[in-house]
Order: sequence, then C-alpha cells, then structure tokens
Amino acid sequence: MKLDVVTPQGAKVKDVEVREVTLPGLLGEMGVLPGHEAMIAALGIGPMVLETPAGRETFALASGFVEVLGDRVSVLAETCERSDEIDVTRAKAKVDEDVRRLHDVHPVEGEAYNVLAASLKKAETRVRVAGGK
Amino acid sequence: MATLKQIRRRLASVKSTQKITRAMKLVAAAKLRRAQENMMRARPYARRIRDVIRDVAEHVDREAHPMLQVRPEKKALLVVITSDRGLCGAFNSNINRRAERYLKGGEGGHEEVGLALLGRKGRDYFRRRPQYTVRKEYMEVLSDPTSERAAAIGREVVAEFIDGGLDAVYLVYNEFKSAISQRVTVERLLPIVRDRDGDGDTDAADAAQAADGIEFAYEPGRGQVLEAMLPLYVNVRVYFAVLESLAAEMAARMTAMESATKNAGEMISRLTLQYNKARQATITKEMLEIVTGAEALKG
Repeated sequence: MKLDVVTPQGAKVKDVEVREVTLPGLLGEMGVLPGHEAMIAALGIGPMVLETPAGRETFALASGFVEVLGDRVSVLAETCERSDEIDVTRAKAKVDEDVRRLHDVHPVEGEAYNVLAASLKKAETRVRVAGGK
Repeated sequence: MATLKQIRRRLASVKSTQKITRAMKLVAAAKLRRAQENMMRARPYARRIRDVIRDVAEHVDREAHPMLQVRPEKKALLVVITSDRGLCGAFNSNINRRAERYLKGGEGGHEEVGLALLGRKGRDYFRRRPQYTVRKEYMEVLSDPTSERAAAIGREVVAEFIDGGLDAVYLVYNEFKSAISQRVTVERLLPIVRDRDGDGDTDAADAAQAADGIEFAYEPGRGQVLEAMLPLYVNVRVYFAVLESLAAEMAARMTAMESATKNAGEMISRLTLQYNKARQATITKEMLEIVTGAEALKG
C-alpha cells in the first residue's frame, strides 16, 4: 500500500510503498496492514514506524490523524520528523527541562500541566526515535 | 536658485536612496516568493483537516464540544497580526486602525476585549494607546514562523476559551489576495462555527469526496476524533494567518518600494534637468564676461 504524510510544512512522505505502518493512536499503538477497512483515526504523540521493502524507517509524530482508504494511507500530523533529522542532544535537554518544570506545576491537573506533559511526551518520543535512549 | 554644488549633492542623495529602495524591492520580491511557497505547502494540510472536521461534525451533537459552543460573547480576544518592520506602505496602519475601530466602536458587542499582538508594529501602536488592554505579545513568531509557534498560540487561546476565560477569539490580519492587493480581514477563530459556505474550489472538492459515500470507521470514536481534530484546526488557522500576513507584508513592501523607486527616478530626471540648466547658465554667463572683456580691451 502507499503512504503519504502531510504536515503544515508540506508533504513529509510522499507516495511511499509500505508493507505495514505502526501509528500512535489515541488509545495506544495501532498497526495498519494492506486491506485495512476504511478508517479515520485520531493520533497522539509517539513514534510512527514504516516497514518498507527497503527496510524500516522511524519518525517522531505529534498530533494528527490518519485516513485509510483502499490501499492508500494518509497521515496528517502537526509535526513529523524522521529519526535521522532529530537533534538528540537538544531533545534530551528538552526532556530534562520539561521534567524540571513539571515538578513546579501545581495543581497536577489543569491546562498548564497538560501542555507541559504533552511537551515532555513529544521530547521523549524524539529521543526514543532518534535511538538515544 | 540653488547652486550647482547644492544640486549635485541632492542628486547624489536621491540616487543612493533609489539604490536602496530598488534593492529592498528585489529582496521583498524574493521573500514574497518564499512566503507564497510556505502558504502553498500548508494549504493541503489545512484543507484536509477542515474537510474531515466537516464530515465528522455532521454526525455529532455540536453542544457536546466546548470548542463549538456559542456563548454570549462577553469576553473576547483580538489576535492582531502586524509586521516587525516598516516601509511597507499602509500595511500596518491599516491593520492597527481596523483593530482600533473594532475596539472603539464596540463592534462585537463584547463587554471586555483584550488584545494579543503579533509583530512589533502592532505592539508599538498599542503601547501609545494605553486605554486598550494588551493581554499577550508574541514577538518571536514572525521572525521564525514555524507551525509549532503558531500552535502554541492556538493552544493557549483554546485553553482559555474552554476555561471560560474567553467567549470568543478573532483574528485580525492582512489577507493575501494577490501580489498587488491585500485585504484587512476580521475572522472568528473561536468558537468554531460552520464557516462561510461557498468559498469556491474547496466546496467542489468536498462534493466530489462526499459523492464517494464511503463509510469510515472512526477510531476511537467520532466524538474523540472530532475532539482531537478541533484544536489542530485552530492551530493551523493561526499558522496560516501568520503565513498569509507575511506574504501580504512582502507584497505591500514590494509595491511601496516599487513606487518609491519610480518617484526617485522622476526626481532624478528633474534634478538632472535643473542641474544642466544651471550649468549652461553659468557657461553662458562666463562667455558673456569674456566677450565683454575682450570688447573693452579692443576699444
């Protein structure tokens, strides 16, 4: 099946042949194989893994949705970075910063907390995808 | 009558000004092209999100989603996008005056209107008018217009809207119509209401898609998909407004610099004429003096 990833910066992945896509669904990881039924699913923050004939590719994805229709998978995401585009040191620094800031946030729910928690999750995903555990 | 030297100095100064305006025009043209490319890249994403929201929203209870709720608009926020730099004609003053008119005229019938400013020119304008409340300033967005920065603004206003701290959010910015025309628009960002039906091409695309009549499965469910999508829609609208405003700014600067270059050109030819006349007059005068001197000697 064919995969497209569109972001506000333009097409990130265009018409790439894939055997399987793993996506960060809202309720957890979600795999899409050829022959999937027509579906629209919201996506959270997490890694996207493509199994292409040439091998495996990993991306850090944040907020969006996926539409599966026939043998075409279209992903729309606010951000999408390929593993080799990620600056690991910066992502790690961001994780540390967010963790520090999270400690100072009271109450432990509410918008400020959620925003920060999302930011942390994004940074963690980037570190993980870049392979710099 | 100006002396030769004065005219020459004036001429040199106008010429160097013209060099600058011409260079600025070229720079603006190059930047305009880049800004337009950015817009073009963001467009498919924005459209797709809007289409899906439209599809999904049709089948859910609108009241269930806080971002769709229309309340009496008591507390409103005006997000005003200007530019960081001047020399772009009436670009900034059009926006600032429009925003001020909105505030002064009580246009939306709000009890309380705050301002969120993007761009230094807007900030400077409203600093001189302390009678209006500036709630937020986002000065870093225009110099580095990433979708992340725009999304951060979107998240902030959405959070405040859901909290009930705001009942409505409006965008005031220069819409990019074409390279020679910009239009100041006031657009509602929140709550999300079914927007102006019939803006041409997209509706045709919608119709084509709807005709397929495919039943999608929604994961985790229609409601959640909509809930996840609405903030993204707000974010991309902010981002797109920033991109449009940047393109419009470059277009306005290009036009302004074009006419400045033309005016400088006219001034140069007028001054050159004046200079030549003055020079000729001096020569004639000197010749006369020589001739009369020679005549006198002869006598």
